Amino acid sequence: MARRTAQKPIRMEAEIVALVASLRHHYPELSDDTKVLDACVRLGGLLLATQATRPGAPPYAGYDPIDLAAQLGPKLLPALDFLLQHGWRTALLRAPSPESAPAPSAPELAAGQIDPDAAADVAGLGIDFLDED
Amino acid sequence: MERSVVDLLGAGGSAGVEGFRLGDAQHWTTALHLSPSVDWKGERVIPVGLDNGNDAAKVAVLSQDGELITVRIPTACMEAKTIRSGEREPSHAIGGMVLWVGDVALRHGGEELPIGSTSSRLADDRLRAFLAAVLVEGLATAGYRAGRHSLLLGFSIPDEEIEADDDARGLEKVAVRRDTKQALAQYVRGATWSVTRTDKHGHAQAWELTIAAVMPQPQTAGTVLAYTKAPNGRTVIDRDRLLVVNIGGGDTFESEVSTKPFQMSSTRISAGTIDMARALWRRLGETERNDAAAQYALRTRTALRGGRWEKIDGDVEAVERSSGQTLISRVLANALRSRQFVLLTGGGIIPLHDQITARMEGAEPPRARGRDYDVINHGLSSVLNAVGALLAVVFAASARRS
Repeated sequence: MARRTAQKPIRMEAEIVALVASLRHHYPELSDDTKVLDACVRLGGLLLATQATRPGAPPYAGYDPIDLAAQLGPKLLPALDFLLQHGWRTALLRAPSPESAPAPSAPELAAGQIDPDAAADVAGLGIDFLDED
Repeated sequence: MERSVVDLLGAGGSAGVEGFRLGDAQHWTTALHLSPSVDWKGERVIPVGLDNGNDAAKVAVLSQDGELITVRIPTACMEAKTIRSGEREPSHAIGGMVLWVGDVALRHGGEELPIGSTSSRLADDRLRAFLAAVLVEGLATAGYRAGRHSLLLGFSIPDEEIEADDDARGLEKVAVRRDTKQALAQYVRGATWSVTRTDKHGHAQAWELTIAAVMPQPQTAGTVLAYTKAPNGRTVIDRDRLLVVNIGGGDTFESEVSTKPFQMSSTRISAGTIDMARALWRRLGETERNDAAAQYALRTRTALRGGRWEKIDGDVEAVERSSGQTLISRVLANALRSRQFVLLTGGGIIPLHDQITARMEGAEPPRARGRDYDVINHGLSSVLNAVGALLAVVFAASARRS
């Protein structure tokens, strides 16, 4: 299915123009400047959406937070690895010393990690939300 | 190999929350790694399991760190009195009433709340106020701050209030009984409960709970889910069929459960420990019926005599030998004949555990624990239906997030 597009003329600083041209050589799947720009804006938009929680406007720019995390995670994790390799660690990412490390703990289960059959099994036991009748 | 929720909780154990005066609150050591909030129609809501038992209400909720907290509060309340000297009692102001609930009410001679069907109980203002107070206690114990919270409420109802669905046109489906459904829609779904909770130091905090959605479920289903499922919802039991005997305070239900696919049918086979509690109450010379106080005496092995709280171990043991044996004979009649794996659970297990185990292992042929039957351990049995109600909400909500 063809993607819907719209024209948005913008002016860019020379530095950005050079960045786009440089990126084209590294991402052969982005065949021209427009596709590189589109990828940059999309990633930047997703990043900004994580902090878009101003009252009165749709939170997360209208994204479901779980979907937003799912879209952003694969793109952002390599960047976090890059930052860690180069010594950039926030308090959150700072590894504790072995002496103070808590017992290893499995990460919290997100909704997407719940077995899809579990909901059907719940229904089989005669359980359903009342407001879904 | 993944482990069931019951295995995980049983292995890790729990620690009682100190200073909880309304009943019993436990902080479970093994984290289930479930998210403490879920998406529901565009908002983050807190999943909560509530077992609205006749003898006690039980709440299961996840702390903001994802740890499981359970609270059990006896179903009793009374109008709060002014304490002019000495330590105050925690109270809850709800809908123009100021109440003491649970053990606090029972220690001050409080009354039991109505027992019976969910629809008749929910029609009582005090019962609804009591449930709101219990939910606030669950959240506060789990570390939530006062204020507004939206809840996704798994609501345990007696197994007999689930019946064949007449609208299903011949398919083998079950549904919540019509009167129960109407009462939940009228009194619980979408309700906003404003509760001012005042602690023993006199600090008051305002809570406002909105029930975003309610999910009624048979009480025994909670135990079934917690026994057969890992926290991620995967089935971890390799048995095709179970016979679950759920000995509650008011009733005992026997449920035939299939796991492939999941199905359950339940029958009420006996009263619960209430017969033992009433026998104890009579033995103590009480003439005015108060089931909640009688259950309290059975559970705590204490009674008020001549103005003093005294231990009554001898009386309780005498009742266990008489009424307790009668109850065990009734509830184990089918279990001892069955070729299915038998799972024994419910708050009634607590006073009867040793006799039940002895009866199962002394049967002909002897039943071996783990191979032929299992008994949910003391600490977990009374709150497991609420834990399962929490799991059901989390599992079902995960499938509806899109």
